Amino acid sequence: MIRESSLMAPYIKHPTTTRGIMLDVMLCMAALYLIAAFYYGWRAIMLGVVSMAVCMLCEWLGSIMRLERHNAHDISALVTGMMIPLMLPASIPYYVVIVADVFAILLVKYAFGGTGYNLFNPAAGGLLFVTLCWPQLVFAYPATFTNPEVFGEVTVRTTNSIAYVLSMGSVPSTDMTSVMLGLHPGPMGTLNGLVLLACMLYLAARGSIRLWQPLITLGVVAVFAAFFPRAGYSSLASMYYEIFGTAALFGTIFMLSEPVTGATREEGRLLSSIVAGLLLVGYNYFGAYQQGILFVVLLMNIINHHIDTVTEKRMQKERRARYAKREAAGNQ
Amino acid sequence: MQLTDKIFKGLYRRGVMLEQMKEPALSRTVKQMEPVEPCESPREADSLSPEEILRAAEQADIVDETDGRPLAEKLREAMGSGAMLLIDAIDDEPYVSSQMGPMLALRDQCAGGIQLAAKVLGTTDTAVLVYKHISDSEVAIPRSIGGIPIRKVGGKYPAQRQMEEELAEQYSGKGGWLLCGACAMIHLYRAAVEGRPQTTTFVTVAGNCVGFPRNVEAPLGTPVLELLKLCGLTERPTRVILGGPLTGTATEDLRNEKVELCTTAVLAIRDDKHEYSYTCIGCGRCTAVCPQGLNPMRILQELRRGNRRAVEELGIEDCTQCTCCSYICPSRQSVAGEILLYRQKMKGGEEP
Repeated sequence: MIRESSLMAPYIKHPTTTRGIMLDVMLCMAALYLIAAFYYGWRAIMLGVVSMAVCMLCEWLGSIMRLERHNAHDISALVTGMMIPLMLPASIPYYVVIVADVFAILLVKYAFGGTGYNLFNPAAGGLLFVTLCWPQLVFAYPATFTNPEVFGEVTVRTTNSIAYVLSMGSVPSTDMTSVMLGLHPGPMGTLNGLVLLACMLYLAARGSIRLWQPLITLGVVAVFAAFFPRAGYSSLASMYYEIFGTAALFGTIFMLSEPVTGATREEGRLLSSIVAGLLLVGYNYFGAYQQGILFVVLLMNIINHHIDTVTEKRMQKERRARYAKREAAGNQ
Repeated sequence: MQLTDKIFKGLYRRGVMLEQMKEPALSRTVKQMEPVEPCESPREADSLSPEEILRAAEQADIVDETDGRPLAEKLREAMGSGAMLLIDAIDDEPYVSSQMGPMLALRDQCAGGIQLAAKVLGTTDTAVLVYKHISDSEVAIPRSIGGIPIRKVGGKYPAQRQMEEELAEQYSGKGGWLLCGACAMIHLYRAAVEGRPQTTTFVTVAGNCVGFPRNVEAPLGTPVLELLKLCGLTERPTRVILGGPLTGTATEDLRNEKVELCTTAVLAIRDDKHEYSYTCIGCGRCTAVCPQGLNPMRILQELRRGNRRAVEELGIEDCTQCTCCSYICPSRQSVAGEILLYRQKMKGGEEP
């Protein structure tokens, strides 16, 4: 059945579609997979492929559960599927990824009504679940160029990430260039700062995200890192490690700037990015786990609802004042 | 009286930037469907008194295409007030150039009409307004026509409505300005000088399957089909629209649908691409473009839930049906359409 309203004006549409926005995000993440494959071999790619397949399957199951017709043009599950392994080490067993996928799609997304209705970022929800279940696996990172086996038991030696070193209050031994190029152990998609910055610029140029949003969040993190370094190194080094050594860059670009669970209005987004920065700083100093970004993303998902309510109320008041003024002018 | 430049520039107006696609209709001459014989004994425009001009406008039944009101009524209200006369040739919707086209093509008549109207108002302060962002047009917009300056109105679509609102806010109650359509001015000149009643209206015939897009001066009551035949179709259109692509209405009955006084355009559009719709992902683009500062996605959400109180609280009554939200929506939701349907139902006293 065609909705009556779809036959009405406007008869021209802006070329951007939801699918296009998501394809842009997927293109960026594909670049991150290429880098990850360069560092860790075929296992990185296989993790992504498996994760995407499981997510699509869950999406299909989810729509069956809700007695809806599955919209094959909705590729948001693929975005979630691509995002989950990028925040995990390349040596992660496949079952952990699959559990994260199932949790993300069936519980975080479909429990609330599917695409567009989810209260929380599905990828962040799924990742947090596996982080709480298998912290020893999630936080064990193989060194770059170690090529973990594509299938089966991973035998490569794993080490701690820069985020762990920072959270322990000691100084990372990795030099600055290696940090920027991603030659340090860490979640496989969050390593190369240069590619991540390129992704940010691309998404901003395509209008998918607003450039100032991640910049403000990272700016807040950088300011605190400069004034209160977690260990005895210069403020410049502190800023550098906090932003490029952790998953903060990836999280702010792909999770905090994402539209569904973000704030709606511009002033809301501004407030939201500042609060996110403060929360991330707070977690870095007092949190229990080394990667605070997932907690911040989920917390922000809730806070954004409140921010939206406040900005909407403010806008209503403003609108009423404007109309009252106009009416008063009309009566003169 | 000097209007502030801010109103014309419209830098901070919200809305959508549209590709205007006014070519080639704008650069072609205006086609007259019925040939007009030159007038035998034109009257001297300078010798007409304001009362005579008003009477001529009344007898000719001129309707202002900007707001659909009789021109004589509008002029009589502002007679002798010395208000600034603004001529609307803005046309901020794509394809449509039914005010700008005739204003440029018949500029002598238009300028003559403006001078007559200015005489009625008792002012020398006049300006013709055109839309600024017509980058694809090959037509150079002159600085003035017949001594009347042309001012450009900037800002995103809907520039005209927002400019009118800003004018109303700042100059209301002071008798500061009067906005009249450019085509009405042409008809005023013809009525006062040549003694002709308004029997025609200017219509843009365009669209991606019209062979020779152009502005047509069509007699009132011309069937839409005849206009399309005149300009030729290269393909079978999937949709024929009366009015602009953002505010018009689609029609299927081409034989019986007729050109009326306020018809600005007839657009024949072929759209082969099938648009898939998605669920709203809450990207907030509609909220960012809404010129009224509404939150269309929240309104749509509450409409679908049938929550009437929430819908009213979100300000659905302030919606001006500019359809920017539907245009921009990447999920292809017809937000503006649903809002319009709801309001129609409410007006009809029906429970939605």
